Amino acid sequence: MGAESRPWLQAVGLTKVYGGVRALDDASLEVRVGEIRGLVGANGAGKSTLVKLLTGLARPTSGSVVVDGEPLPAGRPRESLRAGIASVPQELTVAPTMTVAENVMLGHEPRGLLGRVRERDLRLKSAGVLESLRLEIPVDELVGRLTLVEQRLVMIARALSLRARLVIFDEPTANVSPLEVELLLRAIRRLSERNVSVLYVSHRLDEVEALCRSVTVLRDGRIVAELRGGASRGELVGLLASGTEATRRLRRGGNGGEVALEVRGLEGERLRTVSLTARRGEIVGLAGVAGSGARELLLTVIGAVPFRAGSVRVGGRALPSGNPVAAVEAGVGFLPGDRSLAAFMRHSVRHNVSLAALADHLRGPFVRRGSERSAVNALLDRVALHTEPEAPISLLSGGNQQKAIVARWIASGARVLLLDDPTAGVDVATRPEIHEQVLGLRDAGAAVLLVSTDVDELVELADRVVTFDRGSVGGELGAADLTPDRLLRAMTSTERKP
Amino acid sequence: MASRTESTAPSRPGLRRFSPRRFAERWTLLVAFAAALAFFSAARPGTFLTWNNARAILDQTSVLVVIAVGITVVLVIGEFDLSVGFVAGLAAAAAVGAMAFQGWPVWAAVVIGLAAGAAAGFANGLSVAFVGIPSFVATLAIGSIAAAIELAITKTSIFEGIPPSYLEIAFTRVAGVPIRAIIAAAVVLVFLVLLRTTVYGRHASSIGDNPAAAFLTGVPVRRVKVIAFVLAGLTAGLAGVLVTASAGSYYPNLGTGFLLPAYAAAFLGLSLGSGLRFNVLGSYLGVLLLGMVTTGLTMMNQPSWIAALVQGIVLIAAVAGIAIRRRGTLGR
Repeated sequence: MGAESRPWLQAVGLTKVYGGVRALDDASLEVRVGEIRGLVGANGAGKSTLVKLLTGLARPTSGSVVVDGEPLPAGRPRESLRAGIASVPQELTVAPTMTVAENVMLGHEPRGLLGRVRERDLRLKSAGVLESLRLEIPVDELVGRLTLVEQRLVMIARALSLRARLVIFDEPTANVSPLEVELLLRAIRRLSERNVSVLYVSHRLDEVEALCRSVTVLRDGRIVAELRGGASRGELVGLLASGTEATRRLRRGGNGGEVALEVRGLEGERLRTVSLTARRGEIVGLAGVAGSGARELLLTVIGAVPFRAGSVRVGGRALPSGNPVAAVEAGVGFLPGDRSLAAFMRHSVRHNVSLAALADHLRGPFVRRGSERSAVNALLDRVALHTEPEAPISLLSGGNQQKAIVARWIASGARVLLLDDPTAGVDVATRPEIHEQVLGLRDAGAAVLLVSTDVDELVELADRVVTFDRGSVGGELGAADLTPDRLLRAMTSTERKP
Repeated sequence: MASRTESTAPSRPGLRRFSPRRFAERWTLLVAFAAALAFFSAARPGTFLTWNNARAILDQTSVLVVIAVGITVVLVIGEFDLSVGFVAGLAAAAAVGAMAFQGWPVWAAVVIGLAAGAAAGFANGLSVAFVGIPSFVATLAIGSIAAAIELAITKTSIFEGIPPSYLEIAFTRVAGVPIRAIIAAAVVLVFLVLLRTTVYGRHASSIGDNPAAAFLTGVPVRRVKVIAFVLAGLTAGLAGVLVTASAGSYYPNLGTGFLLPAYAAAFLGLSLGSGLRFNVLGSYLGVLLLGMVTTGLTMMNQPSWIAALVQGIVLIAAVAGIAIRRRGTLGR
């Protein structure tokens, strides 16, 4: 491992400011040849910003990336790639209708006369790359027919064929079964053996512990720790959670209203026998990394995703599978953090607020505008959204748009609220206001399911937290056990069940 | 409520001072309309700006108005209907065939024409909303099938025994206004009310704006889509009846020429108002503008290709203006 001592890539004082917020603040790090470095941090800690700056997808406000002593031109993805920085993103960028060989060599196919692709060379070269990683994937198979992991392995082979010197992995084991995780980790180790450096971004701390010899910990945009010679999960949890000691539960709900939502033995594409109840007047947190099933459960209850077996009951009434109309009628409301799933940008605030409650303002098939207007005005007051109801919602800030969507579900009288990262992309000032609204809805008797990738948010709001792992319920933390530390520990495990 | 409105008004977005640029953007279509009117009135004084000519334009554009309003509903939900021309032909064949071959009374013929249109629209709606075929492809296929059925009905192509009262649908005048123009205006009014004031209209425009959000908010997306296609089919059927009534007979391919100008009008209509949304009134004015330009150019003895050229240029200009406006709003 003598080669490991030589840093070839340096990030020097990288800072990125988005609209006044320091997403990344003076981050410096060195990458050595063949090193596998972990990059951990809570959501919003600046991991993806750092990755974007390294790959040239964003331009730093200050600082630079230096390769072999030469600074890279900022914000030029092609230059970064040419310098040997490749990434295997969460969202796959493979061409599913092309073969493995074509995918591996995409963009740098061996050319013959007049730009003709030399098919034989293409197959031989890609077979060679796969062989060097000891991957057994047939080069003539269509990538679309491969499993998710195999597709990621093809991306790794592709990075190697591009002569990448650093391969960045962003949550590569999301939606991946334990057996396949092993395949992936093995391939990553082979990359390292071939002197390729690896930056491994993951929430799964035990994978980081198993794989990485050095770990960089980010918190609130700053690098707070650099661990060399490996890091234990416990150590990492401590580092991630410290600084969040101030996190406290905002207001407890009285537990013990009647059951508002009852999920029994739910089976779906990403759910395995999930059972869960939520009572009126409580906030149930659902925690888990991407692909764990927490978010999938919300999507199944609202009806965006069908279920195969089991039942979902709202107020005792069984909901049909995959039917949002029935779910909303039964009193379910879905509040995503991703506004593109909730807001109608070309419509007025009034239209956005009243869409799920038009039935309250009908005379025959016609919407009574006067009644609608006064209801909307009252709702806007209630959520403290001071805006002109006739203005397009696109003119509001993200936080205020979110308030309007909260008002929508107050208007519909939703009894079961499904919150999916409700404050993602909401400014710091509005976040507590949204939280206050959620608590208000809970206190008014709604049952709330809260999915959040933000541990602090779960601790602040939830009355109890159910953890998810690979499609099933992993465990539950009651109010007494609910600390950021314990929650992180529960969320980041990938325990192998026999 | 009133006091609240006053106290917070200055900080509210959306209430902004008058800007000539925004005004021009918002009323492009009306400005173009007024400009065309002024131009032709000046070029053909004493003949263009007359009641007779206005009546002729309203009458000639009536069929196109009906079709354009129907496809506007489909555009509002974010889909396309390319079958309307063929469906109009099918409805025409069904109505005229019922009278000529079966001796059905006029009212029954009209009903069968409308029903044929609605049925084709229903087939479109099912293919798009329930089977999940992209509307471009589905409506082309259903249109082709409609054309095939039309040919099967009309294979003898001799139509006798059409009652004279059928022709009255086209040639009656009420207080001097051709009844076709009145029917077209009534269709505009009905659809305007439907889209502006009903739950259906609210649901339809929410789907057009953001289908995923509409689905997750509990809007009955499939039902709304099917109804939109049925409405488009129904108006296409009505168009088929109006065309055959004024021709006094059926002729092949009578509907195919309506497709392009109907879409041209709807896209012109997009530029009416501030929202960049398809709207019935815009489509109506779009058709009238196209009709006025065509008539005006004919009166100036321009060859007919000039009219097609001008229509193309007007459409490109309108859509380019919209593209530029959209680009401007992206940064927000």
